[in-house]
Amino acid sequence: MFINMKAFNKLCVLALACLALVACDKHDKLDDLVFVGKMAPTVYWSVASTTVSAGDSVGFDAQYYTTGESPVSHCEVWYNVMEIEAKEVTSAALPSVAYTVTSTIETERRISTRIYDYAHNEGWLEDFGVNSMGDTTYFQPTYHFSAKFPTSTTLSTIQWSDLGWDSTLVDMYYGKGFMQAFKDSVEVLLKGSYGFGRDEAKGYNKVLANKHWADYKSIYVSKGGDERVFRTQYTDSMIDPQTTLYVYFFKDSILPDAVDSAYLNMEFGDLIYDGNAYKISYKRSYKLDAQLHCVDEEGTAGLSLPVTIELN
Amino acid sequence: MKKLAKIFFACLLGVTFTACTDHVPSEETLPVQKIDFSYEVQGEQYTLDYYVGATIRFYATVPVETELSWDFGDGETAVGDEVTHKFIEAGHYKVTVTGNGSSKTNVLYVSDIKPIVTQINDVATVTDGLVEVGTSYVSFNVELPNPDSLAAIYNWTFPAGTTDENGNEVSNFVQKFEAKSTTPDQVLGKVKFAKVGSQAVKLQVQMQTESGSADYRSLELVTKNVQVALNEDAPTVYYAVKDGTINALKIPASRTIEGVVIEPYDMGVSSGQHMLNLVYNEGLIYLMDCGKQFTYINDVDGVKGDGKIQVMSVDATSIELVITNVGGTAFKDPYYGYTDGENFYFADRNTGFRKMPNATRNAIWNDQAYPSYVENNWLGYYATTSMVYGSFNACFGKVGDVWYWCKKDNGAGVWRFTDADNNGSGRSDWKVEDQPAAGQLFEGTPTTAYVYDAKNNVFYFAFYGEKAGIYRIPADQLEQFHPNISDASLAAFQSFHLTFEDGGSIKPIVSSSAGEGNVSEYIGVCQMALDEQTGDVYFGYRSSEEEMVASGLIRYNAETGKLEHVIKGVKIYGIAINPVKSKLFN
Repeated sequence: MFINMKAFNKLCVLALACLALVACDKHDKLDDLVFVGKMAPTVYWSVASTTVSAGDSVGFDAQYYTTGESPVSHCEVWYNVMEIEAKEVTSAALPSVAYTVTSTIETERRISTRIYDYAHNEGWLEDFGVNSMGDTTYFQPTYHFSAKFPTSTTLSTIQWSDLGWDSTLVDMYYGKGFMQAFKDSVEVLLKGSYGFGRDEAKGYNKVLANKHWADYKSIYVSKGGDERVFRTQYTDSMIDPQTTLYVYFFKDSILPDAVDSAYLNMEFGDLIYDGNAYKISYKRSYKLDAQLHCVDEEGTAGLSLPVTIELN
Repeated sequence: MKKLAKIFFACLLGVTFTACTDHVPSEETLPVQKIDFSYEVQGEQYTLDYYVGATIRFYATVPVETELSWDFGDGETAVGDEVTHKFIEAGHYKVTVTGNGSSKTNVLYVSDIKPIVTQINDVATVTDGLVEVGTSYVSFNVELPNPDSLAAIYNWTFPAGTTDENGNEVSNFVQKFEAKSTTPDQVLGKVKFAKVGSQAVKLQVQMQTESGSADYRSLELVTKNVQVALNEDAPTVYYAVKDGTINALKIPASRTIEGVVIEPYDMGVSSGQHMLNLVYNEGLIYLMDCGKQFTYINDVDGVKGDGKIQVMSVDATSIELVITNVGGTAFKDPYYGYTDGENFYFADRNTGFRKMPNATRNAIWNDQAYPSYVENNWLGYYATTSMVYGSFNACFGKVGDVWYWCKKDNGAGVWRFTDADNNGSGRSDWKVEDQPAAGQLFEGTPTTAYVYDAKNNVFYFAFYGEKAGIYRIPADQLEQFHPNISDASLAAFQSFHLTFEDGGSIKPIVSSSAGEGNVSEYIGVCQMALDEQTGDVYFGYRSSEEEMVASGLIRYNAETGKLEHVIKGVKIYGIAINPVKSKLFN
């Protein structure tokens, strides 16, 4: 194909000009889309242990470098405080109900704050390393240091499972009013009537009475009632033709006042005692989400990956 | 004209290139930043503690454009860029700052005063920091932040058997400090302990509410665990208490020592959510937690994983992360593990297991770095037996050259193979003749754990379901249960069933409402550990029939040939034995 030389030259020059214009970074749209940040130091760290006793220090090994214009001034450890609260209580004295309340809640209790500073030290510079073949290999000059950061003794784990029952501790850890609310919930289940108050729930059917008969008996007897009276005066029994087993029920369709008041007089502690132990526990523990910041002289900080430290 | 055109083009090029300068982004005025703030304790002491009454400084962490107003969450307020405040009651506060056209609330936990109890070992009776049962004395020092020198009462509670230097039993001890005094009315001397294990010394401090007041308030109970050593060298069994911590127990060769009560040590390390396996290797215990959700979950985005492996030194002074699957695919959480001394193998929920060097630390799970070592359909059992793609994993390991891979469902039993049987990739066209020569065992019987006693050449297996229990089977009797327990071998199988002295046996929980898994993947006895010195086998049991056989730490006593409770009432998942003999941890 024949092309006029003059036209060819013009086209070449035009293409070159276009290329120059397009390639020119003046036309780079990046700046229109984002704020370009400053180069921050690169930071890596590893901790010696991810679990420590509250009050002990956490050892760590850190490396950092910067390719920015401003040298690193210092490093800082920051962490927040997370609380993990676990509760469990069961109406162990009443197996037919076995009402259990459990909860595990994780909550941030303090935001991440600066905990400890480490001044930059030129002596930490390591500008070469040895590769796995034993050869000296040069790489990015990096500052390397080992240090510790402190934790607070106030963040030790509180575990309450072997102290027996203490109403002040229940109030402290479960909140005031919990014991009565728990007892009310058990009573509703015992009477098989959901969503009603105690008085409304007094009228219940014989099937439920049979299911909870043994528990009612133990409640009545534990409060000084006579088992023979319970058996003969308040309750009756018959043989279920299908299972050929005895079923027990209250004679009246209304729970006898003597039995009702026996439950009302039960202490919260009686309700959660299984004959060997009080089935209540509480545990509060803390963990820290820690991060190492290395800050240059202009205040630009590079951040390490976070590490979670469990306290006990 | 030609010359003019050339000049024109030259100029155009010159202009083009010279006009193209290095682009320097122009400085821009950023919009006013939303307000944010931080806080710190002022002063030199207790700066990490945020004690009630401490002066706390609150300051903005962004440029302030308007006046800031502060609400401390206790009814008090202040104005200023930087303010200080004292909280007069311990508790959780929500502190809010308003300014720059926005507001921000941050949480702040103000701690109550907490006594710091430190243990002081008696140099005459404590060697190398080892507080030995019955002989070593310790005393205690208390640091009580008490800036107003208020009166305080210390109520000490000691474990049963604690005695003072005169041999008198000490169970409770009360000390009173008058206001402005640092001297107690009674001196708590040295004490020694009669029991091995974590001996919990408890201190309840009651502190005057304010100077001159007759009212006292209780500070939070403080427990100091004294780790009391055994008086002879013995191995240690470690176990993960459900919803608790890692515990350890000394296991002397004689099992019991006259006059010495052996209780467990609380190692103070969380047992996580479901720590189904602990693996011992050279002074380290690998802790395998498959996370809260360990049964089926619809994880379409592959982000619901919450399992991880950590490694703990035997004295629990160091815990390191080995690998985490938090945020990864749920079913790839680490469930079961095994080490050959060099590499660590970890099984997922129901696909296969992977390999990594024992020294791996701080790794994030991913397929590329940690590809499968074997998967169900990489073996000739797949498509030729009851084993299907999603065959549920349980304990596994190697005896000689043969892998023993326990399975709970979708091909329950034990699937044995050698490395040569491992195809290295999936196949669906397996032929019967491709089945590994080692062959499967107990096909159709959910198998959750095994351990091999090389000295006695005997295997122990744990099953749930119809044939639930612990079975002790000599290695030379094993082949009669290949591929399954037939009618002909049933009587022999039953003869290997282990029971308690009273005839009771192990029946793991198989109810989906008990938090122990669902159909196809109940947890059962999830690990067994062999004490090589005695031939005893230890395991954790969570009972389905508490009134028959209680949950607890259970041992097969090689001397009596019976199962027995070592500790009753405790619910245990993973278990491992450190065979190195020591008085405490070594």
